[in-house]
Amino acid sequence: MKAAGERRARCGPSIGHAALRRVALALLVAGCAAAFPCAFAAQIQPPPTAAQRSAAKAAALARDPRLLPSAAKDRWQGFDPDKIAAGDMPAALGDVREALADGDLPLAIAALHAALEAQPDFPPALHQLGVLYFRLQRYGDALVCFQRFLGVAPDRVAETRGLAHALYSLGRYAEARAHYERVVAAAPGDAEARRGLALARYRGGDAEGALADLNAVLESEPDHADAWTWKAQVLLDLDRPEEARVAAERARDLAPWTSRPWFVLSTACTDLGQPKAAQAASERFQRLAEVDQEIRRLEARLEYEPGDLAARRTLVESLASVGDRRSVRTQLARMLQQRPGDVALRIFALDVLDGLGDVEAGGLTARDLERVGAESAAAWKRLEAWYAKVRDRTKQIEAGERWRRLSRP
Amino acid sequence: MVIAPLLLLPVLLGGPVPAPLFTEVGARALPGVTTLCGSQEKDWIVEVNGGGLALGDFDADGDLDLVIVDGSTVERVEKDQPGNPPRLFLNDGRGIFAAAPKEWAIAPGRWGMGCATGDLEGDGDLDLVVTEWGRTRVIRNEEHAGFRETTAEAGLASLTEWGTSAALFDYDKDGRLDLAVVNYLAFDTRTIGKRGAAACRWKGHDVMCGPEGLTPQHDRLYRGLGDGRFAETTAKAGFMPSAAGFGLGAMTLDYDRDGDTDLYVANDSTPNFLWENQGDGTFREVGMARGVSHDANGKEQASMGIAAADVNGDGRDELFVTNFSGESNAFYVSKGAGYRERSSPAGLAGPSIQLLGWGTHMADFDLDGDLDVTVMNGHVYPQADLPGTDTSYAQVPQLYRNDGTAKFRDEPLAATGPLVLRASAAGDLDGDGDLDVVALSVEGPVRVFRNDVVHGAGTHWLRVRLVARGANRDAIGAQLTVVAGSATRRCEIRTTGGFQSAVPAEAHFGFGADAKADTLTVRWPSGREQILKDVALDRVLVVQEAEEAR
Repeated sequence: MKAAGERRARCGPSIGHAALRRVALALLVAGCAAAFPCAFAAQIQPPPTAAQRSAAKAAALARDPRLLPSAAKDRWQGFDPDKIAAGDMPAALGDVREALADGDLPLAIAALHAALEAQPDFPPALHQLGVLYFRLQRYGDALVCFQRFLGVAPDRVAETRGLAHALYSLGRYAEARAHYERVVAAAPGDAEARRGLALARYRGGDAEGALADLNAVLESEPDHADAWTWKAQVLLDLDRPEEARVAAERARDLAPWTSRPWFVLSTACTDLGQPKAAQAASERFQRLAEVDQEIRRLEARLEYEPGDLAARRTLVESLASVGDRRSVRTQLARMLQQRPGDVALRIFALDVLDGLGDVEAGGLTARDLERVGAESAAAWKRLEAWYAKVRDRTKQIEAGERWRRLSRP
Repeated sequence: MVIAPLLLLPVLLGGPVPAPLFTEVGARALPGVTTLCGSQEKDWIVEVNGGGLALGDFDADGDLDLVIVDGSTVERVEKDQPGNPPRLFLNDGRGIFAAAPKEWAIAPGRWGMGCATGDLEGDGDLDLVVTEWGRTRVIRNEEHAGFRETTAEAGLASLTEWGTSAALFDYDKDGRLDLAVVNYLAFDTRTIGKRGAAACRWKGHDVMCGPEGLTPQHDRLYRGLGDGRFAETTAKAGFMPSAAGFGLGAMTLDYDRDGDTDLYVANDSTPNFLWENQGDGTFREVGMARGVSHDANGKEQASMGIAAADVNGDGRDELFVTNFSGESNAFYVSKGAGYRERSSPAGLAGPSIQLLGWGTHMADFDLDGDLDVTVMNGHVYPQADLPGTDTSYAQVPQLYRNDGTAKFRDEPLAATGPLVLRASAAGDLDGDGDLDVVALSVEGPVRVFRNDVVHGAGTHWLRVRLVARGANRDAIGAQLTVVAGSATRRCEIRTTGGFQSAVPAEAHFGFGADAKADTLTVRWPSGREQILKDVALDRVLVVQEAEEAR
């Protein structure tokens, strides 16, 4: 449940803002219109029920981007994102920002639809809508948005690698390749587009061309683990297992918590007649692959249900089990942001970071726990253990004293 | 003058679009025959896989008859009522089927799934094994005159699991057929949430729950005793991996050409298994080591149907596996001692990504001398028709034609438009030498796809049936190699095929313009080899195992 203060802050600056929430999103500030002071409205309006929230999301996901209104011809001719007139900016973009800050993609999509109905074909909104549909793995919808974006802003080819990504994800490899080529021509430094081009070439049977593109990616981004993995795979297809092994080992060293480098490494070792090394890599792959599957499932769920705390907690545990420190930090930050007053969650976060040996993020979490759990015995008990572990004797003593004091009956 | 531009139109548009190779003739060939598989809404996972098919000559009149394994509903199961019974339909020789007389009636079970065929007692007739969400059932053929259920006598009455596909093959080379049953998962409506009530979502939509999050069941292996009875050898034969898979498909093949039969199992959302026969009555799971457990990216797929055939002519079967939407179908090409997944360069990946495949076959459907692929498609979720799924519930069945270099181009199998298909079985239903396909809808009418290839000088063919000495009379596991000019083609005798289905135990070859085969070599399951020379084509050839075959 959100705090009243948070709801007040969300009431926002304008009637339009609140009205949009009421009419289009059916969210908690439905009564926060001009006739009521926001603070008062926040007190009298109950928070949205799960069913209301679920209905709002369902309505957002039922929207079809093909049905969005079109702008007048040449309305956005010569569009320059650095020179957008204030009057052109749809008010609903504020809702988009808020929804994105909450990690709530379906609500952000609803707000973008509202923005595009108010300001048809507004290029940044079309582009952002394409990005969000892509993240939700709605590739056909993403494609529609990127194509419309390119239709109204034909000079912005460099920003449309998402269009090629969508084509690729739909299995339309030849079209994806053609568009990647356009993007790379317009933005030669776009490593992600170059990587996409490599994959599209590979899917089309052009392994040599794919290898050249992957080499170009690695020249600009030598620590691109995924590009190293793909390079290893392409080399295997070209019957160059020794080079494939080297590339796979590089990928493994860069991202040892992901399963795929181990898979390719195992295959390379098999091709090289190194059964023991192949078996060792295979066993590591199989352990990681089981976790990968769970992580993919949870990540997909959380894109649609960002408030599912139990799922996010399981995701954090899965990520921690394979040592993916960076992703653990990201997910924990999201959890703590969603539950600003939750002491138990901060103790959980500290446990996870402690287990990973992440002293830096653990220290930040400990300070947050001191603040949020100032009156919690459990918080100070956990903090005492943390400060003992990081050998901060002063803080350890202080935490111990607080714990004992708060534990007294 | 007016007509000329119209004639030019197809050329301007890229040439005339050829008619599909197959015509759907179910309304005439199997009038009024439908199946059942739970509710239309698909609230439970048990309602989505559909039933099974078996093509074989049950009445020994020389043509292919059809067994349809039918399903049930959750409500019937909850009331302890039986499902629809498996049914035999007899072929009139022209591909028109009629319900078999009462002697062939099979009692209804709980909820039928798939089937396997083979001669269990070596008495020369074709018996049947039916899998269910329930028991695995043995149905004996009484000298081509009717069926009799012998599940209890066979020793299979005690287990209640969710069997999907099954395989009859002689793994221990004792001349008797053994049985592998592929199991899916532990299903119970009392413990698994119903769609909408259990927060099982797909692309933001409420869908039935599973298989992820549910408990997979181990597959079972039984040694055939040669008299219709079986003894379970699952543990003794090492046929039990450390982690069970959600098993759906089964394919017998001698993948390593060492003379014994191995077994490939397609698992849903878990790695596929390749059970390598050790030649001593045991198996070793080598899917990962041989490169057939995951896709090319090391990702486990939701696998359903399997086809196996030697596409590249190197003497070892390739494997083709159908998968979920958002995944491509997998094409495992033999390489060294194992396989490499090559669906993308073969042209089999992209056209399958938005589709969900089930029954599949690799055979020379257009008789031009190389092997093509058929795939029956249809989503598991009716909710696939909701916005943003990039797919649909009903989907077009596909024919992937081989261009002669093991590169494939997809086209609609028939002019039916989208359907919701599941199991399929391929065989020459009308005796004209080309392979037709029968397919089940998840529920509703059974489809019969008649192959309309135009026969002529460029479409020679040969069907070969084997009669082996000993109990494995259909010679399941035999290898046939045929040489015609510079081309060598190979085929293994098996009855596994499609998905939850059984196919005829015979070899089918297309030869294109080659008018005769120089040699046909049969390596019998006994190990004997028999060579026939100057074999005439365009006929059904029956080869008896010679007493002193070389």
